[in-house]
Amino acid sequence: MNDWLDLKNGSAVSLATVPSIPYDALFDSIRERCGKGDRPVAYFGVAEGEGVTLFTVLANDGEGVLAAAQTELSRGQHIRSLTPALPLFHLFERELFEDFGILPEGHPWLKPVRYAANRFDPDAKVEDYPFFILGGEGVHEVAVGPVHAGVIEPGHFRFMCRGERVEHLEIQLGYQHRGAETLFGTGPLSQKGALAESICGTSAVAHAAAHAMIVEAASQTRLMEGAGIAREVLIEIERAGGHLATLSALAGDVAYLPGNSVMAGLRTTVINTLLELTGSRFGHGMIRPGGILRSVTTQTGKLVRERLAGVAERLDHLGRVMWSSPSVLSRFERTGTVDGETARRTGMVGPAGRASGVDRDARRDLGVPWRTGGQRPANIAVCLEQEGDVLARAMVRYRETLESIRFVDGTIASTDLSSVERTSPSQTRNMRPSPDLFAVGVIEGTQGEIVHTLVTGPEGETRRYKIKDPAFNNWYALALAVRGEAISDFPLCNKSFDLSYAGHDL
Amino acid sequence: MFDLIKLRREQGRQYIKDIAGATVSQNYRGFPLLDETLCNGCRECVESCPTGAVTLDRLKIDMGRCVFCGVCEAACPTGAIRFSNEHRLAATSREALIVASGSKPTDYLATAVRPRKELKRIFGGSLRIRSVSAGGCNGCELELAATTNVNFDAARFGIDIVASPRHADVVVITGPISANMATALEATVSAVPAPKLTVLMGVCAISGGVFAGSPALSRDFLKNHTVDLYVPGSPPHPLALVHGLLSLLGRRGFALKTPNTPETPADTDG
Repeated sequence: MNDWLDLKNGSAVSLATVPSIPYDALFDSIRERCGKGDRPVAYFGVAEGEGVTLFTVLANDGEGVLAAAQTELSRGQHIRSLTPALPLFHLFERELFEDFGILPEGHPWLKPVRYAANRFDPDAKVEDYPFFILGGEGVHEVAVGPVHAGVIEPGHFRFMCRGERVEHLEIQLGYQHRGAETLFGTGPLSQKGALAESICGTSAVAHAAAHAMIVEAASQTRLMEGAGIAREVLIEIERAGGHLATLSALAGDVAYLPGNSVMAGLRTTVINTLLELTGSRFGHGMIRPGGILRSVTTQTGKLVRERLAGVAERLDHLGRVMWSSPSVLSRFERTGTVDGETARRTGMVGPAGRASGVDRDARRDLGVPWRTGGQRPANIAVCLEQEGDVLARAMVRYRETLESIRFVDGTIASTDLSSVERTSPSQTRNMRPSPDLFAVGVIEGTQGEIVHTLVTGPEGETRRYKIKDPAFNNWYALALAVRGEAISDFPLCNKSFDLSYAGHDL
Repeated sequence: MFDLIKLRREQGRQYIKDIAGATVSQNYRGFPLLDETLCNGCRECVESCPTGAVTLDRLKIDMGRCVFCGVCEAACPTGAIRFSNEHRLAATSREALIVASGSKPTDYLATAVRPRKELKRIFGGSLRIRSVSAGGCNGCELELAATTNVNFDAARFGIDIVASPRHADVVVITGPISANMATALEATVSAVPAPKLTVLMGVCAISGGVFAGSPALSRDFLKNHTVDLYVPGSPPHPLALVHGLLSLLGRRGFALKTPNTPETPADTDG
């Protein structure tokens, strides 16, 4: 079966050219392709009355192509579940069930995803989540959340333990659901930059970049010369700042105060360089469809390089001490292990996936439209570890922080960012997606691949704006990581993944 | 051991000494400066604003709805809208957040937070925060957590974050209040012993921000509870929250303070 449409990352095609494949054929074709290493980056429905069109996008990381297909289904229809053979699909199928009542028969874990406001079954309530119950002598449950002890987003964790040992963890999400996808569909899509920046706070820049990429593709707008490179710089600074926040908290979780305080201070410096470039510590208000909204002066570029060089130096000094400290290593090593096979089977992405040896990074694998012919940037190293434990996840983040700083430094040194012309809000406002289009854009954010997908209607209006945050791929792996661990190691495991609740709940 | 000491020496002093007077980078988008006399009525700002925060019948920006993206500033052809780097934006009333043409940051600072004497007596030396994220994207949450880091170090004023609502004096709410969090928010606030304060941190908590009007929200909580402090921003600067809380408590030096020499963490090396 080769009748899928091959797409480049950040491109838009006429809906009519996306081949329509009946479900049974789609089922076989997905199994065949995913058996050879493809994986889903989008799998969602677009409703029209009782009918639901299912869109599937598979990524072939090796060849750097995306393949799309559509399938006609209807609300409440029963379909054969892909999950038993391909656990990669487990949450995608649950989402399809929650949104449209399309029931994947044979799905082993068909539970609510996020209790979306427009869910198929409005009677399903977040208070009534059907938890798995573990029986037996000495088994007890520990319930945590939705409000947690720290300053983090809400979610409910139900630990089923024997003594201190976690036998099973069930993670219930949905508390953060704000109806973000629906809001993308109300009003002009090109005006949703600020909304994109509020999907997930630690990847505001990356989500804004994905949104801009979609609008540019759908309205056939050429990106301002050099604006793509400027965006890459911002994304990498965001990544460095995000990883430092995670690493600082990890050090705090094992009461290693030098790491905790030094990296919190370094994070301040990193996000303050983002502030110098964009006017916001989180990089808000900079990336908008068409380009970037503010110019970067040579002086600011120089300041950013100087400050980041200082961060890299101090981080290196800290690393030399921290990564040889027995009190850190004894807690990080062999804690919360996800082996490579499990990571691949469940579809993990981002630094958590790379820590389990999943050699996957959209920056390298999928390319971007602003690099000629979707050319892959050769100047960014993908950081891999094999052990899949807390230490591996910390090391990937540590190395990526240094790598991002190196990239930013080299890019500002070799590119004249001050010559990048600004886009104007009126230009952005006038970018209208063409009618009956399908567009897909993937950006490697701080926690992994961010996927935005757009389906437009006959007037160019948004029929569906679908978002997949990397948290969607990785939450399940956290539940697997803590199996067999002491419950006291949960905060450490959780922080090492550092997944977004809001990005999952949308 | 010696490596650790060396590392410690390298860090120097990173805390901001004068929290009340600290200013942030010139590039920071804070208090808006509006000049109606320059406005040519082209409506570019109104059309470009993602949250309807700008109004034109009299040029005004509602900081309770503004996400500080600065798109209006970029859209304005005449310079009638600019953003100053004044980050101290907290206020004790919702109305105070509406900035009119000609308003100056100094005037705003002098009136926006009305200190309450009884609060100084009760919480002046120790104010414990319980955070509830109710649909927050993690932007405000990170900035709230940052108030206790080595740079901002709010603990020196007795401000700290506690794990349980039972130990808290103030609940800081972030996020637009999702319907799925409404019950948990109510339960958390009711678990805080009186006397207690409620703070809305960030534009989403104040007005729903970019999520305003979404059917997935449930903001009834705000009908039944009084709000003691609004901290606008998306997200607000950590210093804005600290400054707002200390001003509310009437701590010496925190009301009516005008900016002095710039001091940002990156510049304060030991």
